[in-house]
Amino acid sequence: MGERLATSALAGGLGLAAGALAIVLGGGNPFTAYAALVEGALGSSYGWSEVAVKSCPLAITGLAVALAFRAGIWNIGAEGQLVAGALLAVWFGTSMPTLPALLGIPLTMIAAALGGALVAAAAGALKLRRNVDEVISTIMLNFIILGLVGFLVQGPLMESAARYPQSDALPAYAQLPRLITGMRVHVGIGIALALIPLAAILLYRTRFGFVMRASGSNPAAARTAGFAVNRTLFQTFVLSGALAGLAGGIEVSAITHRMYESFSPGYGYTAIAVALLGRLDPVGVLVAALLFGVLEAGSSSMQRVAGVSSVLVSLVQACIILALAAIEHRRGRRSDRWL
Amino acid sequence: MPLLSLRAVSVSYDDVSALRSTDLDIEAGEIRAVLGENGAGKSTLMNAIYGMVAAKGEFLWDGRRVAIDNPAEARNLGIGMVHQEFALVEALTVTENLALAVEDGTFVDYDRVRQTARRRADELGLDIGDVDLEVGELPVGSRQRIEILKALLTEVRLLILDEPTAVLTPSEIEQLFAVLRPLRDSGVAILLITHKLGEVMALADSVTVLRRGAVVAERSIADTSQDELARLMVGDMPPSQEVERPPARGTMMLELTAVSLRDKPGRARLDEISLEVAAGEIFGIAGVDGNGQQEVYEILTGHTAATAGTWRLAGDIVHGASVEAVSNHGVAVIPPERRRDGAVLDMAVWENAILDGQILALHTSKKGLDQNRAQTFAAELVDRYRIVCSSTEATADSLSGGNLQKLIVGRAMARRPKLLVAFNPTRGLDLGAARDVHQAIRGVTQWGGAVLLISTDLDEVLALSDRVGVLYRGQLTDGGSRPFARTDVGLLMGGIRPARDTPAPTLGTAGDG
Repeated sequence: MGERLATSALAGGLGLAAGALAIVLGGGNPFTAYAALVEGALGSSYGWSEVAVKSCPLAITGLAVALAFRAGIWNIGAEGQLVAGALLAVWFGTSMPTLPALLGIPLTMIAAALGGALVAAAAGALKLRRNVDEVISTIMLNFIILGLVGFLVQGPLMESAARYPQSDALPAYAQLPRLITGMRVHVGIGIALALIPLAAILLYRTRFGFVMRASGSNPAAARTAGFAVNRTLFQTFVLSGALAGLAGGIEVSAITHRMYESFSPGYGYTAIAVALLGRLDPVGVLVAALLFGVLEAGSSSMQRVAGVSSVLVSLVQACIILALAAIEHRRGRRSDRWL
Repeated sequence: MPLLSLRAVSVSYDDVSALRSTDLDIEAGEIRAVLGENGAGKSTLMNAIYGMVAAKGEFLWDGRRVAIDNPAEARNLGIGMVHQEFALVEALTVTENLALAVEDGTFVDYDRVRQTARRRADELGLDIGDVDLEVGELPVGSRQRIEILKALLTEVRLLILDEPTAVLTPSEIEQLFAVLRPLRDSGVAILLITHKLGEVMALADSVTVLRRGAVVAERSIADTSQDELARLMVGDMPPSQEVERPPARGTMMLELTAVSLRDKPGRARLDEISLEVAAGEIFGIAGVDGNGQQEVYEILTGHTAATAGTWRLAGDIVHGASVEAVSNHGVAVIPPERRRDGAVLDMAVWENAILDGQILALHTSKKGLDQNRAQTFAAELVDRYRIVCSSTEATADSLSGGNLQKLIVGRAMARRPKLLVAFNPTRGLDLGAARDVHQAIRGVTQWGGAVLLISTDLDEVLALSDRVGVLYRGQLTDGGSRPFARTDVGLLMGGIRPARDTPAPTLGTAGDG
């Protein structure tokens, strides 16, 4: 555990150093830039709220990816599953009759989880029935879902005003309440925080988690042990997709309230980085999601104050992953366990 | 001057010292056996010489100090190694695997590799068969010959063999010796890791005995005896007692009736196999590797469905193939490839102790996985089967082959199986560990379980079994019951039916012979 922590910390440091180098090469001052980033993210209560808002979908999709990877399922489709979740949440939320929020919100969340789960289940069935590599199928499904959103928001789901290619706003009784006026921090963050220990319990304290980890590390031995490996893998597909879908549901219900084509800035892809940096461990995922949340939340302040493009954050994130892979490789581990 | 000298070489993994300040001299043109129990440090010593683990101390090659930091440097010096667990790419053909070892240019001249391979194999007297078959299709015995050939394709001055005879039949072992002796005479030094005393006496010129990571003795073969070596190796353990059990004829635990398995082209991998194993009985399947053992194992463990015939477990017909269903029927398995099928190497020892559907069920409740009980259970196994590990939190990867096998066997025993299917259960194990495993297998019969033992080690089959069948080209013939006619069984293994008044009967009825 200590070694893993050190690896992640080193990778994080190297990523930030690479970012600093890029700033210097661009003629900027990395210290002022990073200071502006930290100040923007953590210097005010609004900044903290934004960190929480940005970290929330990353933490939940990060969990989705981490659980799948633990089972040896290379689910690259968290993005599509997240969008599918948001889509189903919006469809359900805008078409259901008026309900009390206490019923409307949970039902919307369930719809979101269902949306993500359905997409992942398709990839799972393809893998287990037809032996289709899930890396391929989940990436393909991402494109299908994105295309589907494009069609729906310009057609059947387009807002009643028919002005922009976006859906109607969710009714109030399907919106996750925000906690502080003037800030975006919302109840969904509590859901994310609750999911972290739940995922840890599932992984380490249940039979299902045990079979899942064994199947992920060595499916041959898990089969010989008499475990229902295929069933467990399928359930993990569904669970992973449900989590990603839920993340999309929370995002649409608490933040955007509407569905549109560029709904997700790639949360589902960043989630892969979050899961890896968090070493596929729930608590690690939370820490990694917070780090990435700080980077995202502070990036605009960095651009404003230090004149360094906010795109730099993506570069830092990418370099962290490269550093992780390189460190693992140097250690002589089977890096394919993690990548 | 020795070809290779080790001076105060030591290796430790984490905090555990696997090899302590070892000195060793190997002369050109000698066969040096390295004997030792599991965990004694044999493999560690070999891996240090081959640059696979970081070692402290001095290595002198031709009297010159060298650093061997990785296998490539070892090969450059002229050191070749044949690992016990093969390093072949299953999806590639024999030729392609050999090319991996010798070709380093941009373009690969497969014809040249093919010719070199055939020529070298002829010189060495190695039967490698069709070099264009995929390695994955070959039986274990053939794979090992490919490994040996791979090591000898390039100029080698020191050849390291890790348990080379573990999977070979007696005649193949003779063939191997016939390859190794002229190699030695031509000046090559050979380091032979083994635990088979007979082989040491027959083949080696000198022997080094390791115990607990240190050299306890060096002997010239002329000055020692099997008894002395056995004593040196295992310390002062009492010899195993062969227990003669009265033939027990309880209920039928396993019945196979005309079970066949055909592959896609329709070739019979198993041809109408019939056998019965009663409660309290050990049935041994002998035979040369690749004659249907893998297929029998796969059917009985639920990995593959038989294409014809019926099979029953304790009277219930088993349909199709389901590992889970077979396991739930009370069948425990000791798989032949323990690292691949028997353990999850990056999980802890305690987690591997419960790596079994039924054992896991015993350690889970509505509240989930009971880690404390599982830890206690694992500690009991470690204690009872004398498994050497730093703690139950250590990964299974850190266990030596013998200790890992004891963990797997202990886990299978804890289920009190109705039927135990054991396939090459002591392959590559030293005497002490093998004895423990054999004792555990015999134990199954004491609570009325049955054992089906599949083994390519004839001594093992004859020592443990009450009745024996011999697999040859997918057919099972009766090899008799105790006391066994060893020569007859040997003939059957070679596909020759011993002269009898009546043709060899099938095994539908028990107790004949």
